[in-house]
Order: sequence, then structure tokens, then C-alpha cells
Amino acid sequence: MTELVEVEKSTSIQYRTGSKRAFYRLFHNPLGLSSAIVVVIIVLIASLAAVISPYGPGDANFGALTQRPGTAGYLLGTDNLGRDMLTRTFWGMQASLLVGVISVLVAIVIGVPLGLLSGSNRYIDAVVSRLSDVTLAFPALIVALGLAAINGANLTNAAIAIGISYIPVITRVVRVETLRISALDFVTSAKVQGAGQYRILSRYVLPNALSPLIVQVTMIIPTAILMEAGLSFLGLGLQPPMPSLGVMLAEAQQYFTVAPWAAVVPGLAILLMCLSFNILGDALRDAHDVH
Amino acid sequence: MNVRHIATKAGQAILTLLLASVVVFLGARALPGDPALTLAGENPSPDLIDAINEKYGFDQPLIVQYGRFVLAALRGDLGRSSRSGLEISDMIGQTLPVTIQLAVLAVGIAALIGIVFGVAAAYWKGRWPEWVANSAAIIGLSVPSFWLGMLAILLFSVRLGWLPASGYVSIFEDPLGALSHLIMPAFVLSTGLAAVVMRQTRSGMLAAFATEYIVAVRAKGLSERRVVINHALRNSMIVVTTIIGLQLGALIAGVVITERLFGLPGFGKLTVDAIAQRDYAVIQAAVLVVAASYVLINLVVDVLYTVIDPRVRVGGSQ
Amino acid sequence: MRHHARSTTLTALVLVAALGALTACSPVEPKSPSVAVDPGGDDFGTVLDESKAVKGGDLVMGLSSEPDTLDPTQAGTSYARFVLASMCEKLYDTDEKASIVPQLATDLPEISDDGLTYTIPLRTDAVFADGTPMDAAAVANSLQRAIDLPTSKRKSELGPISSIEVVDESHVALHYTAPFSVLPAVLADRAGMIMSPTALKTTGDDSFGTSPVCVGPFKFVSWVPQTAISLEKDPNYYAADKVYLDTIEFRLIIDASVRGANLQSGDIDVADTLSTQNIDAIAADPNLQVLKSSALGWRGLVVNVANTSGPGKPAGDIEGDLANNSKVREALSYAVDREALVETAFGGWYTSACSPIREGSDFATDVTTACNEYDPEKSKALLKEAGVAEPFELTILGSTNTDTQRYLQALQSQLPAAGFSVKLDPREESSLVSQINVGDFSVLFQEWSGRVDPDGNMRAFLSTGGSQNYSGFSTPELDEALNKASVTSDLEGRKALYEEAMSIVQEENPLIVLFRPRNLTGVATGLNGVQVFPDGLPRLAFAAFSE
Repeated sequence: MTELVEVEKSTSIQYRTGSKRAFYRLFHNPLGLSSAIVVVIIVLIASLAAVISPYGPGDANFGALTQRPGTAGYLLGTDNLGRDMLTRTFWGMQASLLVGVISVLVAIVIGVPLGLLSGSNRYIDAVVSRLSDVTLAFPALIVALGLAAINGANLTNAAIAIGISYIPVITRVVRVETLRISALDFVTSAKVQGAGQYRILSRYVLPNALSPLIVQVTMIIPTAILMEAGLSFLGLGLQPPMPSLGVMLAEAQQYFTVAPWAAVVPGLAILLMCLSFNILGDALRDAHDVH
Repeated sequence: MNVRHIATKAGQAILTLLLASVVVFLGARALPGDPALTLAGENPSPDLIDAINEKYGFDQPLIVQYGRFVLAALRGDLGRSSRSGLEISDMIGQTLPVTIQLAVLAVGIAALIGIVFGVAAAYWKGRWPEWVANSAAIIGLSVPSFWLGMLAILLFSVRLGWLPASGYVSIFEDPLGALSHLIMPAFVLSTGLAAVVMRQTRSGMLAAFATEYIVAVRAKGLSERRVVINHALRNSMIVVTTIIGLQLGALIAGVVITERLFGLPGFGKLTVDAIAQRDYAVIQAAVLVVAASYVLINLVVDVLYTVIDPRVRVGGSQ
Repeated sequence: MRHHARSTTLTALVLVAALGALTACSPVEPKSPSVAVDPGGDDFGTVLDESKAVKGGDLVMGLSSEPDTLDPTQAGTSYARFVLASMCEKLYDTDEKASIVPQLATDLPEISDDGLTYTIPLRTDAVFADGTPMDAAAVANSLQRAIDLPTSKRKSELGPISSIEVVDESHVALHYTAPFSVLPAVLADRAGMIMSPTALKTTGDDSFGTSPVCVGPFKFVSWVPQTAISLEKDPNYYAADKVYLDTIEFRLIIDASVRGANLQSGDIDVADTLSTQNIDAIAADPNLQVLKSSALGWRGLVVNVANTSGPGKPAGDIEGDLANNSKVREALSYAVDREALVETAFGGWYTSACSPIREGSDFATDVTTACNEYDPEKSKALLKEAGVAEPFELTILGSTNTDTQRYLQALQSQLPAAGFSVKLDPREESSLVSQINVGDFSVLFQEWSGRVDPDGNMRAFLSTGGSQNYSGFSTPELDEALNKASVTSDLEGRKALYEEAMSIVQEENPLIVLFRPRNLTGVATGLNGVQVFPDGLPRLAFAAFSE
């Protein structure tokens, strides 16, 4: 569910870093502002899960199995082992967010340098293109299955697999920016004046590539969260008793006809997280390319 | 149509496929878990393990195993499952049609919904159809599809009893029955895709409406409707074609999950099961088929792209 | 667009909240608030009442897992047995008391004076589905294949066999190098399934499993991978007049709740392995019946005390108090609240157990089924005595099976009250098998499907060099007791030996048995004569629909 990378329509020169102006525009857009706030709240909840949860994620009350939401002491009810849904949802959000962050990191740490290099050198570009094609030919799922088999079925492996599958996307974005900016007049003149490739990349390309990169990142995180949910649903994200939202959904599948809230709650949590990131990403993109 | 261009693309595709086959082969071997031990079952004796190793050549050097694999594949012989002894080409032949039916239905639904909503959103920009479409799209991008599936099963199968919760019937045997089994999974699978199609269609249409070409055409007095439809169709085909190419990876993941949720005996299930059972022969064949379809479909998309929109010259960089 | 943006988000959120509230607040299958269904005692089903039986009909069974192969010599999964049960009769069978009864044989084997030759008398009226008559030569051929085929899984099951002899048209003799009293039990499983020699010759060894031919009430028709296996009535069967159904279809429905749903909707007539998570609704349904029996196997914790290179290899050194201090293991056996765990994880549908020997079996005595009752204080006291820090940390390796993980997570939350803290390590089957074969684990949650004879449930796991002894536990006294028990034929003698064995196990605790699953099979009430015995096998061949 990757967003199509839109080819830059504009040709206006922005050699001052564009991100400052983008953020300004963002805060004046009510949608962008509210989604940013929600994202911050989500990140806070996820980080502070240990502090704000009424119970531990593995605390089971065998006398209170599958209680409905609103039962005393259990705001969102309990699951089939008597564990508090609210607590597990908070911890699940942390796990899902972590997966999103790790996969983005993996994609960026490898994708950005590759993209810069591809944009600079034709031979590297050819090799990297082929490698990208091969990577794309293996869906994240297959890679995740392989990693799970080798290293155990846990969230870190799921995150790495997802990250790997996004390397080609990041590489492409950075590559396009590198090519575009390198072709601009003032860069050419800088080259004539003796600026080396490294200087060009770090001084001109990177700062300008930051904006589209950030937009891409806000698009990758929700899809990574969704992928994690899917992988955990297939049994690849287990780290009991630490829940991830996908694991909660997988467990709920066994008995959701009898206790639907066990499935609805984690699903809604995923929906809210992804929604806020997607809206933020949209707002950022709008703020960035008002041309 | 630029023949040389197509030839280049085809060459790249073959190279990719070859690399992919090596990756598949090594990847399968990298899976931990001695396949002989797994096949031997609960109470293995060393003799049994030796016999299994010899029969399937697990103890041969890697190059030899790879060679056997490639040569056989070229002949069309994908081998036999180490587990059941069934011919892999049979297994794929039985399961691939299910997945293809599901995928085609899902893409069809996604294209239909996405294009209709996208055009509506662009045409009625600033009014209520636009923000209905936008909300639907952004939810579609944010919702875990199998969660929707679970809710759908809850509503349509358990509560209302309208649709079966699982299973599969071939479309050639019983078209209506097949549809009833596939419609929920296809809808579930199409959500993310429909959202992407809708957004791309909308932005493409908006861009088109703003161009001078359209302004001039309108000035000439051509019917508004014809302008929209003409442009919509042209634009949509480009959009859908490109998106299919890019979204294939996500679609495959979605297929596996959907098949698992709805109990469809499809290709995704075959692949995942084979990996869990360390059935090397099936893993290799199945993953290779996935990679090959990806490469093939992208090749077709590239070619179609040049046909549909000759303004765009795709020359290895986008 | 932006000024409508707020309304977009608002609409979206309202829609989502409404959807959530709607589905969350109304359980679709109203669970009876006060009384959960009482699982109740065993129910094997009844033999067909022929007065009410209707000739004809197509039975559809929802099968929970696909067989690996239908070749009896190579089949490894119990699901293969499910399908083969209706089409491949065996020399012997088990009844509801898990005793051995003759099927293709006419009586239990005659044992020679030196205990090394077992002569089996055979039916003379049996005919294979392809028309070949079954005679002693065909039986010998089948048994020989079990020994000769390199990839045969039956070879080790048959024990120290030296040769097979065709005595006459209707007698086959098996010669052994050492007494093998469990032979009838082995021949009551896949090793005793007799295959048509004609078919073996024509299809070849690799493909026999894709179109098997045996003696049975039904014969093989087709196997559509991942989907269904079909059988039809075999006119060549020696008791064909007792067969009422026309066809049997084994439809693969892997998801337990879907299988249950199909049973409730009437799309299938029989479903195996019902999930304890939603069986209550099925049990309460007047159109359905749940057949229950205690399974033959056990589930429990195996502690690695000396396994560093795999079972059967020389013992290694394992560090740590768990491996070296039996008091810690004893504490663990007192720390587990077996009752509460099966109640929580399985709704009480499975039974807690402390021994590989089944309650109600011929070998159950107070000593062989003795239990360390749940006592968290005692557990903590023992840990203190052992001089280890509390909470004692434990890592349990288990498969990713949903039931297993659910149980282990319940165990994980329960143990801290008794002084243990648990980390779980879920691994998929293939990786798990590799790990335990090199001793790469500290505690293993072992799932044993079970055999009829206690020897099959104990010796391989607890004797020195046993093929499934992943613990590496080795004690000459235990070896002696188990080995003697496997060659003794006298019941009282065997009981005494197993009492000896279990006392050692209960003291040293290399194996802590936790529970015994039950076979839970759902059957439509319009179908009569379906029986499920403790071996878990749904017996469908002689069932019939009633009017």
C-alpha cells in the first residue's frame, strides 16, 4: 500500500531549505495541525505505555475472562486470558509504532546513501536499479517469513523485513531529487567553481531532499504498521506476553464471534494511528508543494 | 512503439528473474531447520534421515542442487513436493487459479470504485461528493484489511447468513457460488488499492482540468460530459496500470492474509505452508512464480505505458 | 478542499466510531452469561442402529489439517490416519478401551515359546479395491516394504524385526531378535495397513501415496491439493453390505472457528478438533453432538538436564540450577496450577494431568498417576532450600500453535505467584525441531500425540538414548524398569514396573506433565454410527444418515 511517488510538477528553484516554509504552512492548516497533535498524543501514549497502563500487559485475572468493555476495573474489557484490553492496547501501540520507526530507519539508513550514489554515478545507478528490481520482486511478506524462520518470529525481524522492502522507494525518491537538483543552474555553477560531489550532495541535495523524504516517511509509517499487523496475524510477530496490535487481532480471531470487542478495539487503534499519520502526511505534502 | 526499448526492458526482466532464482534458491537453503529432520517426522531414526537426504539430494553441493533445479524448471518440471509426493505443477495448477480469480476480482473492484470516486471528487471539487470520497480514501489507506474482513464475516456470515464464511468453488463449476465465496475476500483485498487509485485519479483529473488544453476544448464548446469522460478514461488507464505495477508487492501480502482469513485454497496459502514445512521444492517453485509474475507484470505495465501515453517516454528512469 | 477537510476527518471518525460501537456492543453469539457448558464425561458415539439407517448419502467431513501423504509406509501426520481409516484396513484395530482387536487378522498373534516369532492368522475373504485378493504374500509384501523402503517411517516402529515369513495362504510370521510385546499395538497403526501389491508395482514407490489402493469399506477417488480428498464405496469390500454411505469427502477447513461454523450451518456433517474457544455454542446446539474422549498423548514441560547434541548422543554438561538441582524442578512441579490453567485456557474442556499414563487406562494406579498438587508456598520453600534467588527465571520453548501459545501465556501469568518468572520463546515447528535436536533450549513445552501403549508414551522420552529424550535424563533404574516393561506381557507385572518408573520421574522431574487434550469431534445428529475412540480417529465408514 505504498503511495505512488508523484513526479515533481514544479520547476521553481528552492535553494533555501524548503522545510521551514513547509512547517509554517502546516501549522496554519487546521487539518495538518490537528493530525500533528494526534500523532504527538499517539507517540506519547506509546512511549509512556509502561507508566499509564493500569495493569501489566501480561497480568491475567483468571476470574475475569472475556469481560465486556465497561466492566468494573476494565475500561475496554478483557481478553480470553483475563488480561486488560486497555493496557494491552497501549503496549500494542508502542510495539506497532516501534515497528514503524525501525522499518523507516532501516529504509533510510540504506536507501538515502544508495539514492545519493545512484543520482551521482551512472554505473552505480545501473547496478542499484537491478538490485532494486530484485528486491521489489520479493514482497515483504516472503522476506519476513524467511527472517522469522531464521531468527525467530519477533517484531524486530518483522520491522527489518518491512524496512528492506521500502529501501527501493527511498532510494528512488532520493535519486530523483539528486538528479533534479544536480541539474539546476546554481549547482552547475558551483561545480564549475570547483565544488566536489560530496559538497554538492551535503550542501545542496540533502537539505532539499529532506521535505519529500519526510513526506515519504509519514507515508511509510502507516503502511509499516499495517504490514506488521498482517505479519503478526500470520503468526510472525510473537513476543509473548508483549502484545502488538496485530497479535491481539490474531488472538481475537479465535473467539471474536463470542467477544467481538477483542477484535474491534485493536483494529480501531490501528485505524486511528494510521489515519492520523496519513492525514499528517497529506497535509505536509500539501504544505510542501503549494506551487 | 519502440522495439529497441521493449527489448531492453525484456532483457532487464530476464536478468532480474535469474538473480531472483538464485536468491530464492539460497534463501530456501538459508532457512534453519534441517529439511530431512522436518520430513522425517516424530520419531526419526538416523537411517531414515540418511535415506531422505539421499533421495532429495539435500546433501549434494549447492551448485549441483541449483543446477538440477534450474534445468528441471526450464523443462517445465517443477518436481514433486517432498512432503506429499504430489506434482508441484499440479499443486500450483490447482491453487493459482483461485488466487488469480481473487486478485482479478479485487483489482476490478478497486479500479471501479477508485475511478468512479476519483472522477467524482475531481469533478465536484469543493462540494460534498469530494469530501465523502476523500474520507473513504483515507480510511481505506489506514484500515487493516483483515480487520475489515473479520467484521465483514461477523456481519454477513454469522449475523445475516448471506455469505459463506470460507471455502471456494470454481467459477467454471458454479459462477454464482464462486462469486458468493469470493466477493467478501475480494472487497477486503481491494480496500487499500481502491484508495490509492482514487487519490491518483483525482489528482490526475484535477491537473488535467487545469491545463490549457482542457480550457481550450471547453471554449470550443464540446460537451462537458464528453470532455470529462474522455479524459477520465485516458487518465485512469495510465493510473491503474502504473499502480498495479507498483502495488503488486502489497497485493501479494494482502492475498496471503486474505486467503488465510477466508480459508481459500490459494497460491498464497501454498507458499506460506511450504515455507513452514521446509518443503524446499515447493518453496522454490512458488516463490519463483511470485517473482516471475512480478517481473512479467511490470514488463507488461511498462509496455502498456508507452502505448497508452506516448507523451511519456520511459527510458529506464522515472 | 481544505475548508472541508475538518468535516472529512469528522465524518471519518464518526463513521468509524459508529462501526466500532455497533459491532463491539452486540456479541453475535450471545454467550450464556452465568453457566458455561459443562464439558462432561467421555462420549465415544454409538454403533449404528441399523433399523433407522438409510442407504446412500454423501458424508462431508471438515478436516483440520492436510495429510502429508496417503502412503501408509511414509505417512507422518495423524490426519493421514483419519483419511486412511476409511479406506485402508489394518491387521489390528483399537476399540474404545484402547485395547487391541483384530481387523484384517482374525486373532491376536500367536507367540512362539521363545517369544521371538509372532504368527498372525489372516482373513481369507479380503479383496483389495483393485480386485487383487489379499493373501499372506500380499501381507508379507506390505510389511517388508515397511522395513525395506529407505524413507519408511514405520521401520523404527517395528522394533528388532529380523525377517518376515509366509507360512501358508493365511498365516504370516514375523521373526524378531528380541521379544517385542508391543507388536499388536504397532500393527494397529499405519505399519499394519496392507497395501495392494499390484498397485505398488504399477504406481511405484513415490506415487503410491497419491493414489493408494488397500482393503477397505471405501476406496480412493481423488485428492485435490489444499482442498479435498474424496472416497467412494468399494464393492470389493468383504462386508460391503454393512456400508450405507455412497461417498465420503474430506474437506480441508483449517481454521477451527470456520470449521465449527460450517458444522453449525450444516455445510459439513463431521468436524474434527473443535476449538475450545467456541465449542460451547456447538455443544449447546440441538442439531449437533460433540463426541469426546481423552486423547492418548500428553503435553508437558521437558527440562534439559544433559542434552547438548541431541537425543541418543552422549550426555553433555548443562549449566544452571534447573538442570543440576532436582529441588528446583520439584518446586516447578508444585508451582503449576494445572486445574486453573486448563480451566482458563481451554474452558475446562481439556483435563489436567500429571503423568504420561492415562487415567482410566489399564495401567492407571494411584502411583502411576500420582500428582504434586498445586502448592505455591511449598514451591517457594523448595526454591529457598535449593538456595536459588527468587523469582527463578525460566525460558520455555514452544511451538507457535495458537492453543500452545495461549496456554503458555496463561502459565506465564500464573507462575510468578509461586516464585518463578517465565520468558516464552515461540518457534515455528521446523525451527523448533532443529533446536531441540542440538539441545538448544532450557525448558521445552512438548506436545506428544500419544500411542495406545504406555511404552509408546514413555520409553522414547525417558530412557537413556531414547529417540525423543530431549531432556537427556539418564538413570539406570528408570531404564531397567521401562525396558523390562516393554518386553513383559503380563499386565500386573507391567503395572508394577511402571509404578517404579513413575516414582523416579516424580522425584527427579525431568518431565512435568501438565495436561491431556481431549478429542473433540462434532457430528450432526442426523448422522448415526460415527464413533471416536481415544486414538482420536473419527470412524466414519459404517455410519449412515437416518430418516
